[in-house]
Amino acid sequence: MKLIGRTVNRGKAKGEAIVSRIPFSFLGELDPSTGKICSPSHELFGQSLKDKILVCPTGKGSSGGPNVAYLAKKGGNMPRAMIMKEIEPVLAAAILTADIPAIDRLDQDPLECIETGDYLEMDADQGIVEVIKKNSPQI
Amino acid sequence: MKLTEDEKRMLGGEYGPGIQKSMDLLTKWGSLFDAERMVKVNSVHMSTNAATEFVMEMSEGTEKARAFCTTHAVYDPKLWKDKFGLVVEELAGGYATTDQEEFERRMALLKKLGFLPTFTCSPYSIGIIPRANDVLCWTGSSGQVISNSFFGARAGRESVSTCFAAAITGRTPLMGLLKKENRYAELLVKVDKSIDINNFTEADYGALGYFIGGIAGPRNAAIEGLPSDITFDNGRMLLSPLPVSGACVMCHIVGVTPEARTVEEALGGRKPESIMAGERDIVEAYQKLNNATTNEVNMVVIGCPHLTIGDIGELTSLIEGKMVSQNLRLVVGVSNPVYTLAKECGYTKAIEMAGGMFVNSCIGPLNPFMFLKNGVKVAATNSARGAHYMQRMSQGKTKTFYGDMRKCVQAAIKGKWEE
Repeated sequence: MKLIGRTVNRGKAKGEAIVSRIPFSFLGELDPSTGKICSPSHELFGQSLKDKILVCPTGKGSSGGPNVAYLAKKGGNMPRAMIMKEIEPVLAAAILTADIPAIDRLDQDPLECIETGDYLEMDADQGIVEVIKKNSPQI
Repeated sequence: MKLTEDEKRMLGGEYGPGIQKSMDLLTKWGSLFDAERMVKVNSVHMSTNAATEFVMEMSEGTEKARAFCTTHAVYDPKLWKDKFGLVVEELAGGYATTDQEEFERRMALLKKLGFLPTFTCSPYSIGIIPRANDVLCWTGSSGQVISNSFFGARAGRESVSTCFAAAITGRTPLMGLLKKENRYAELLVKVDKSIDINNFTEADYGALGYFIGGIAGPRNAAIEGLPSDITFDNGRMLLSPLPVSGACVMCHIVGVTPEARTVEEALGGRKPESIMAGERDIVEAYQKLNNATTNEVNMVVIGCPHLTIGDIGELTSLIEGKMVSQNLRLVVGVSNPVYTLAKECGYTKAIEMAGGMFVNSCIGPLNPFMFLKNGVKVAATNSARGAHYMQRMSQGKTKTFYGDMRKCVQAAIKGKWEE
């Protein structure tokens, strides 16, 4: 399945999807020293975002988010790329500051089409996401 | 995005790699939100939790910031060690470094660039008062909502990295709340006659704001029916909870906000959802902010946002000659400059003699005592924003009482909350 959206930040990435159904904030939710979700109330608590492709509806929360993203990137603990339904200013700043490929405004709802564990190939320059379902015979 | 010749030079690298990177970040950021051009920035107010390496990278080759820059409330490890003998390893939410050397290294870099070490969430309390239509790049949502709503300045949704880039370049993309068309109210709140507005305390105003934020969510709001001579101290307690119970940073107070002399002006010809705020809504807001079940209080926090000199005078007159209960801490959140003035006034001596503790520069309700091993079971405060923070940042371990300063001081003296 192929999804087409808007380039938020350029670049290419391949990897396993991890889906957050609620809006995401780097500050308070990602531990930059491990890449794991550190908020106990979060649905993905304890899971690592490192080298995954994070899919979420949008951003939320404190202005400190880009700093956490920057530290995670320097420590090698950032997601490889991100896919959102619609970007919001603080999450956009985090993505640009950490400089990872990202796409939003896809032609289909990414939260409906992508599940945790699916394999994604992203070309953010073109705004294209190839979704290979985890139960698909292709992998 | 259309850039001026000077902005093109910044992006082209003529002024060095730091300005180039900063301008690159801002142009990409602005393009995502349909900004057509950049605007000059009147004031930057930044949280100092930007990584030191990031500060170095984005300012490489730059002598001075191109905007007037101040710094947000901060946890100063040295002050805590010297004054309270406290070394804190972990702070909730990672809002500040606890490493003294790192803190000093970063502040030395920022000060060299021209950042003032104001360390406050309320720049207005130390005389940094924006004019109507000034462009602000401010982190800290209470400063944003008060600047937009009380002063009519223009403060958008900011992040620490875009704030720093704005400091370095003196520019920010024209988007969001910086544009007039995005500032009109999307929710109109009419204050019901059942509310005895003339006898409203600062806590009543805070409860009203807490209620409105919850309804508004991310929308701009307008409030009709408040006295046009509302004091600044009441106004800021009304506004500061709006971004925490909701995500509202623009709330027209009709007859007070410079761009909302009338309801029509606040709405800009639109017909948004309209609701009434009545006595019941205030009571419900109080219930949410009062979730403690036993009367015993372990901490009283006054000063969220940081106190103005007027507030400290009021606190002094309530507590002078009395004594804080041995079983609790009375914590007062204040900036260094206001503390110095309060000292000159004799206020700090009176408050400290009574057993109060000033936690200079720190976000009052997120003071490190909150994050000690045993934490704080019950805290009382006159700040709706503060009660909300304490309930959540303690992950539910701290329960709160909420009422006006008089009630809070009474609780501090008796060690108990009394209705």
